[in-house]
Amino acid sequence: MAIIERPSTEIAVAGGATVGVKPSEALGVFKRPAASNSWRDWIVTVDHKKLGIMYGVAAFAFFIIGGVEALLIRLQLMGPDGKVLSADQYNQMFTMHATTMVFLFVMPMVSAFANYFIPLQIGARDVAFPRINAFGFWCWLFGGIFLNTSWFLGGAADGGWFMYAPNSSTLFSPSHGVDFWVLGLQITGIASLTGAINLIVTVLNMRAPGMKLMRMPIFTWMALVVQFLLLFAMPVITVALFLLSFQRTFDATFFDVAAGADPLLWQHLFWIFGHPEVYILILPSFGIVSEVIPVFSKKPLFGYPIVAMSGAAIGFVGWGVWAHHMFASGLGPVSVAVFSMATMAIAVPTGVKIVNWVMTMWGGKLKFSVAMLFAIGLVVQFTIGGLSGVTHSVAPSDTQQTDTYYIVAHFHYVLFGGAIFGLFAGFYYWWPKMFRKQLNEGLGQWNFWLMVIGMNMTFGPMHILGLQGQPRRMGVWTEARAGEGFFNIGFWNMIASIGSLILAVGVLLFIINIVYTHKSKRVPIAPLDPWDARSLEWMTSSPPAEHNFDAIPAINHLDEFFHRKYAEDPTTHEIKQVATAEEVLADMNAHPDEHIHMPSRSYWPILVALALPIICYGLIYNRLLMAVGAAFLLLTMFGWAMEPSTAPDDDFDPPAPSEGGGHTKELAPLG
Amino acid sequence: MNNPRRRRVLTLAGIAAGLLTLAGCAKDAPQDTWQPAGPNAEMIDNLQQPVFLVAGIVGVIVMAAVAWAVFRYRDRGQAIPEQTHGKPAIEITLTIIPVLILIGVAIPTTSTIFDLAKTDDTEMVINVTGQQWWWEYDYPAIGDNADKYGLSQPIVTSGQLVIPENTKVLLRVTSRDVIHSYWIPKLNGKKDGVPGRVHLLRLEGSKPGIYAGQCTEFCGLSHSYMRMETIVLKRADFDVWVANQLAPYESPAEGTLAKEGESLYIQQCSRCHQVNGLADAEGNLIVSAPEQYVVSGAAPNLTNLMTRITFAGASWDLLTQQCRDDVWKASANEFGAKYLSGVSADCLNQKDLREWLRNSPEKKPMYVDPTKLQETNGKYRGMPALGLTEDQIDALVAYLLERK
Amino acid sequence: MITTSSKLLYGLGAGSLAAGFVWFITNEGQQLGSVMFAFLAVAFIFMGAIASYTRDGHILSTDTSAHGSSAAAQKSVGRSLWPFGTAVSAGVTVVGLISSPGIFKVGVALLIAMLAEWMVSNWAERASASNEYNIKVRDYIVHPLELPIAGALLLSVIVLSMSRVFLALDKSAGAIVFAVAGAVILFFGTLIALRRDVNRRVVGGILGVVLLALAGTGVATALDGEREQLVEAAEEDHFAHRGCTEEKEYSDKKASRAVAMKSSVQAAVILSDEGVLYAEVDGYETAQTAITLQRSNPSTILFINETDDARRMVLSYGKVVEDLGGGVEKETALEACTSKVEKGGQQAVTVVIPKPSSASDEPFTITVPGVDGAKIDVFVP
Repeated sequence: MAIIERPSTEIAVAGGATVGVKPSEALGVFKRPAASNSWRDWIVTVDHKKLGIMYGVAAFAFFIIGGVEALLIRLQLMGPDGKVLSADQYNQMFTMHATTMVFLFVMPMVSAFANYFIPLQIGARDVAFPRINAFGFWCWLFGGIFLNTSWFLGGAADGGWFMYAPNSSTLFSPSHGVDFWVLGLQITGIASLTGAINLIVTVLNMRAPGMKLMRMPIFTWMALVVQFLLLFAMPVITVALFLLSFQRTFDATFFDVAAGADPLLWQHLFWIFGHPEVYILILPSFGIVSEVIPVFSKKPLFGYPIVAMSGAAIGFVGWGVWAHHMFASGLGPVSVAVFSMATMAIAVPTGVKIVNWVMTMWGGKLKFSVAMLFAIGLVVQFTIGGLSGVTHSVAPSDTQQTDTYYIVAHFHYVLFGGAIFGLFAGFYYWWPKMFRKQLNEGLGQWNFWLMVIGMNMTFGPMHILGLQGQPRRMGVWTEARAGEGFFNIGFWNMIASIGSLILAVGVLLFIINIVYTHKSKRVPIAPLDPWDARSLEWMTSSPPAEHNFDAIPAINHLDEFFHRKYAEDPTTHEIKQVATAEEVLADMNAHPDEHIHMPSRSYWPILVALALPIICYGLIYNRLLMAVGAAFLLLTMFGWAMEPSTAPDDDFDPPAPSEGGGHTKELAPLG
Repeated sequence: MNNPRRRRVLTLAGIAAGLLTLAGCAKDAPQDTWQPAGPNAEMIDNLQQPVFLVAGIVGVIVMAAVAWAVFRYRDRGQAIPEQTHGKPAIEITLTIIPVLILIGVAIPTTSTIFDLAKTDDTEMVINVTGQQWWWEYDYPAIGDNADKYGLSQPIVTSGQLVIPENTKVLLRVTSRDVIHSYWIPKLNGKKDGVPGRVHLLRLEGSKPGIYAGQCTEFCGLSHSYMRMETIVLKRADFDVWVANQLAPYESPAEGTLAKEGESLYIQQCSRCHQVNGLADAEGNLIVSAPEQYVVSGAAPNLTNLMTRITFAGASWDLLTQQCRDDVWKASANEFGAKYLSGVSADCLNQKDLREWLRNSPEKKPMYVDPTKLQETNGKYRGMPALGLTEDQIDALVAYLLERK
Repeated sequence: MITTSSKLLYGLGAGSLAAGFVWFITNEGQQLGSVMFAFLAVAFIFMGAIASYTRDGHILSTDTSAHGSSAAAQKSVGRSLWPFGTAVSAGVTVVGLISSPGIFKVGVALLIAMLAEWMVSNWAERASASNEYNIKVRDYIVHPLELPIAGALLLSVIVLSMSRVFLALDKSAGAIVFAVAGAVILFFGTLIALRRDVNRRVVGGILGVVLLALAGTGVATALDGEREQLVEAAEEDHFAHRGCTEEKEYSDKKASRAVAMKSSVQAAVILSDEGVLYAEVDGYETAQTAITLQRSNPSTILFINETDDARRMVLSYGKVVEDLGGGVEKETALEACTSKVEKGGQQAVTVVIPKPSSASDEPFTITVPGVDGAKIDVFVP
């Protein structure tokens, strides 16, 4: 904590002599954090890789919570008139399942990958604003925990993740659940917004020399598009949440019909955020599989510029389709027709991506590692989800299918079969980079196949359920409306519930795989370049040192790493390996950079973030507590503002001697 | 590894194909979206069948391509492939094809959107009002309703909407509290009832029968129990129904159990539930005051309860299983008579009705905890438990049985 | 080691202990005094221990370098604002004690702040032998408190002054002032940002003058009061003007404006330029002279006036009879009105009708006072 730094141990006094000064012992607790190996280092770190790992671990924990919620929902719906959950509990369960999966799993898991790999993929040493990066993480984590404490404080939100007004007002949702939801999302929203600005600046300003935009790895491209989407989408939901907050806490009447308001205002605000949000969730996974498929096909991504540009196109058109969530909400036929056509239009750039993935595999040399399996799983399952999406874009047809299980099937094919499969491809692909060990391929196969079977058994039948007229968000279904014959609702609900258990076992195997990989002595350290990869993040040690690259590489190609390893024989046009990964790395590190400058650790991000849930608890329970939180926020913000962005050398104990000795580092010694 | 992969792809293709044939296979699914029973739903169906087919075909093609690539190009030791970054001709072609397909879908979609929104040939207007957790229908006695369909007085009913066959009915859908959605899959798509707004939804049934639906916009605690039915009657039957609805109130004969039930009803039920024509001992007409007791300010009108064959947001049958099947599965010709006969003493589903009168919040979750009334401005959201004795319930059932 | 001052403190501690013991024996049943002495003894012995440990703060005679480097050897005590501040705060507190609790609270807060500042300065001046460092360490500790509070105070002065100014100015003049002031600030800000070498004192001086001017104007306008229209609106209770009370100057004068509420109305009631009243209702193709509203349902009705005269729309929906006791009953007509609407203007009124029209003696109607025969029937089933 740099509000107090020790004076230099030597002080010049008049006459030219230097005198030793004993610094005040009281300063000890205020010292700026230095590097260490203990858990404290994770709290004060500003390293994008450590933050990425923390995002990943915490997001996975929320994935399990959200998954348990999903399992409870499926158990409830297994048979008619389910008794597992009460109506109230069921409503909380599906609200929190969606909220958790969207805001506390997929979005932060994307942040995990983006944080960890964007700087590596563009050849940067860290993100542009490392302390803000840390602040974003803590905001998200505290927001997520805050949101989930509602379970123990009178019940979670019960209005659905879309939280339509006026059902979300205190009259119709008297518990504090919705307050927790609103405020929790506000806090996590800060993380998204700061993260977006941070990563945009990073990508635009901190690329390695020679890395033009059109040489950036496609994951970075998709993540960049997503950050722009976040930058413009988060303010909208923030405004909407503020309106709701004011309505609930201060008796405002933004959605109160008796005061002349129109509840559709909320729907428009929510979906102007909510639809780009869908692309925020799926585009990074598109990026991941666009990395994985070329690597395991031994071919560059087919139509790289088109894939990049179609991602950007989705980013633009994604803003003009929000009302397709509202085809049944009473828009006029003209708006419905316009949004219907805009929705069809967005299918084109999405379809282009699928075509390009298939074409990348076409003519390749395919290796089916688990990462590749998950990527192919995404291609197939996302195609199904995309096509059912096209059937939704046909507005009249949508008025039959919306708010039924058909749409539940649709977006789970997109978000589970698509986004989450992409994330799993990323886990398997990047695990050796992040943790030096390869996840077990055998267990991985089981993991993959159980997840594929479970996922299709759970969500496939939901197409049938929806077309048979089973609405979503219903805590019980009745035998009387179930129908008879092969397509009766009872049978397919049972299948879906069994499928969800298989899916859970599949996910469990992933956890077992992690434990096995890291606990078993038999699993060797992974080679430097286990997959024969193509992009920059593999062109450094695993896991990368704090400063990422000893020497920042100059970029001459898309897929720079591949081009350093392979060359085309000019006569035979055969592609031959000319260097191993180790050789490439040794060559690159022969001339390491001097004076590598790294950001310093700080207490302030976590402290500022900690003030926010205090304020929010105060808002719900006691205004005095809110004042305390606000004062704390003010103090910590000031402390942050006054802290120098880097610690002077004398702020630390003497730096440890650098390992190589070939270059000096102006960074806190690594633990 | 390729074989299971291929098998999986084929399985998925099979599922897609299965979906396409769904319409033909489903039997007696009351809310099947692919079995239209009226021109509006047919319009939608005629659009969605080919769209689903095209989507299915595209899906099968993509999966076949994936399967082929997986099978053909797996690593069999072949040389490292050419590092090509794409072929513009292929890319442009494969972009134009989906564009053309989508244009082909967009044109009929747009025309159907406008066809479905047509209102200038309306023959009957009915107001539909949603509230937690049931639907109210009122038939205004103005315009064509009065002139052509004999509605000298407005009719207020709930749960089951009765409309004449082959008549273009326009529903003006709104809500009293939160957003609900009116959906009778076999007659038309859904339309949200939004408080403060009026949304128009057309219904037209081409065959007499009973068409089930369900509120499809999440509306709080008992969203699952907010069901509804639309009854299509032949025109002659509809006239009988209207006449019955407008018939004057008949008080039960003195000394009967039902008469006892009437006075109990006046004490316990009439605060919220209107029975048209019911008068107190001094002969003053009783006007219920649900606005003082429930948040939505409304409770179902029970004047002709036993002409409807379901109750409590159409969540439970008023008929025993056998009598219910008799009506629900009646042929188009017999349906009208069977429906109009209403609920007889023999057919009454005593179990559910009595459970309801005994403790309704236990049967259908509602926010009626008397200790938490300050959270809802002193009003209930739903019907509270009345604490009736079994004798009182006997009397009430006897009284209600006469509300036909 | 028992040093000189610690001897005194230990002695006092022992004395207190003894006194407590004596008290305990002599005042049987009143143990409060002995408890107090016990605490006193603990405190003295604790302080004695500190004195022992720090050797009375004396520098060891063996540590020769300390003669030059100890804090005390370096610098005498500097200037300080805090004694003065503390005295003033104490004065304010006393004045508050006599006059009003508000001033007393301010005084106490000031007193605490001043003492805290004094304490920290005192500590910092002896924190090390480096004067430069000592100043820095003081700032590091106190700035996180000083600056946010000072900033908040400054901001509140600015916000309060600005709001007073704008409340006093005419509505359109306010917009102009705001735009001009914004432009001037932007201009000078840019100027200063471009000329980095401008003396900080000059910039500070300018800002100080501006702040003083702003605060001065704020005080002046606050004393002068709000603009006339606001006073008028407040007197008429403009914001609660929903009923069908007599027409009012401000409320009705300002009412005519377009209403962005066309999609969520139950009916649009239009007074045509020939004085014919009709309703446009969603779902009906033709103009209606009767409308149906749901009971207990918040319904918005839009009134559009196309005649040359300013008119209001009145929706009558029965009456309530209140029993005032003793056989006295009070009848109140239930009505909802728009404000008066000028030609081409629109006003919406949202109403909840609790009882069906059939249960009322009088029909429910929409009328326009002053226009004969302008009537729409309202049915509430």
